[in-house]
Amino acid sequence: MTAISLPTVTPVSRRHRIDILLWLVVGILVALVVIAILAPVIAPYAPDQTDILAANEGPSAEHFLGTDSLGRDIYSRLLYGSRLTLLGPALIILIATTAGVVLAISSVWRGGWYDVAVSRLLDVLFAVPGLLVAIIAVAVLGPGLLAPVIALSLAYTPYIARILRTVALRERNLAYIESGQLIGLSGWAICRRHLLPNMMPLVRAQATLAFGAALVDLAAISYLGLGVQPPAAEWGVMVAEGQAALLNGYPWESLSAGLSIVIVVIVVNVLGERLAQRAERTS
Amino acid sequence: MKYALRALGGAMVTIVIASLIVFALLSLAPGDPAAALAGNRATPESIEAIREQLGLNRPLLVRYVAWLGGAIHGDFGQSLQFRQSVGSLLAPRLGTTLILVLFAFLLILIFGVGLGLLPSLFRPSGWFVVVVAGIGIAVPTFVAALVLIQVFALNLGWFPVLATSEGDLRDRVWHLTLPAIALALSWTAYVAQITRASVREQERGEHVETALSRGVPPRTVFRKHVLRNASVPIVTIAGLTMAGLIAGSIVVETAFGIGGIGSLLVKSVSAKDYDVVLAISLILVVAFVIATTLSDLAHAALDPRVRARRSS
Repeated sequence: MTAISLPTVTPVSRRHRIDILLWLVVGILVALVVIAILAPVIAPYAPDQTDILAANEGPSAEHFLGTDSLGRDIYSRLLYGSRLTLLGPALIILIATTAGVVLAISSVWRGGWYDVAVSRLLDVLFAVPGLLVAIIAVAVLGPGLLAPVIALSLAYTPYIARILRTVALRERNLAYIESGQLIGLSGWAICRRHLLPNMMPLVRAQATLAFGAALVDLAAISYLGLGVQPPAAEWGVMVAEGQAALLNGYPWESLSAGLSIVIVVIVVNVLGERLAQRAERTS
Repeated sequence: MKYALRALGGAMVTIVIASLIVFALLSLAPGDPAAALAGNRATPESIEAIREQLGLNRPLLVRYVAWLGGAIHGDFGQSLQFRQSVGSLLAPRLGTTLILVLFAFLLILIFGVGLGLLPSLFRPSGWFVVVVAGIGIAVPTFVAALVLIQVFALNLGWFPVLATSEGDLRDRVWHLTLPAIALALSWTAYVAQITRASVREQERGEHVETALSRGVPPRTVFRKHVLRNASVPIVTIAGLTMAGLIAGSIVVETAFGIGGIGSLLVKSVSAKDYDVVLAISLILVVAFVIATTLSDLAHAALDPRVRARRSS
């Protein structure tokens, strides 16, 4: 981001090569969102349709992944479960990213005691794992999605704000900020139209990486029985509900829900790392 | 020394503030402990008497100071669900959790750092480490737990399905092997990634190139110039790892049915047993702060630049 652009030694062929892994990962994520939206159309059964005579069956022609202990179709529950499993972390990241960006830019812009106070607060929040904050929130607000979503939004804010603050501090001293002030732009306009757009690649990368971690934390809360409550379909709940069946020799429900979580997190992490590499290259 | 005292002071302040926040939040929780203690057929007068006796009518800050004073002397109040003192409930469970966390920490240090150093010692293993760490970091603790139970307890029968806290130390460690592996997995992958990244950064450094061109044997360069510098970020994240493990033990203990403070926390939240929740939260917060402070101090001890910058 220097004012004069210097000729770089980066080989052109490397910059314009199509990133197959990146597009593969984006493709999988798009497919996942489509599945979550179209679950009622794709799923062969309703997620709560029980059939006690067909309980704990292995995979068959009628039930692609078998049935759970109540005879519900595991494949259908997985498809429906993707909705709550993805919606929760999406909300968390939306709130945490917004708060993180606002805190980072405002503390760098205002400086002084405000900056010190925000930094201290973020340090303290960063030291306490999100899982514990979420459990305490459930103790106060009761089980469900609301308490963990609020708590994890709070817990993930420093994850985004701390690194953005460092970058905003660097950008603050660059010539374009001062130029903006000289031609009479307001602080808000400079932040909104110039500073924020310059930081967006990094914001996207951090938010994506945080999404994977938030998904794991939220699923863990549901697994513990403190988050999404059965009989609702959610992958953490499915792992927990399938545990008794697994011990009795029917591992399909737990393992398929667990594997779904692992795949989504791997895909999200690969995307996040690629975005981070790109953000680094452009800055 | 001055730096250490300052870090210690900061840690105490953090503990007091964090515990006050938790205390204030939990006092907002629905449900009246006095009514719960009095039972179903209590009159409003007897509930009020119990409230008075427990000191629930006093202001929040007074109650907090009284609670903290008791906690320092080991008095954490009464458990509603077990009808016994919280202290006697916690004592046996604390040891189990401690063994589990330390066991996992040891596994992480050995395998995480080992995996991270592997590509430096054996070059073709680079992609292998990237893939293994990338997958390992994405496996949630509770999924790892169930896969380990399925493969090593049910299919192969090498380990018991559920852990018990009975028996001597050797027996307990044996029962805690699968839980410790489940707990260690994603952090091992994380430590491997950090180790690999920091070793690689050092290997590409000019000081390493200079040493090599001066004819210093590669082994000596690796030991003295690469490893020593690369150890700084590894030691720093060891503290974060410890904090993460303490939180992760909540999940692992529940998955394997281990009687530690983590599984007790989950049970107590479900049972609205707030004195227990409060006591365990305090223990966990103190543990986090100790872990992060230690890693801070270790960082400063290893890197004089940090010390100079922070005390200025």
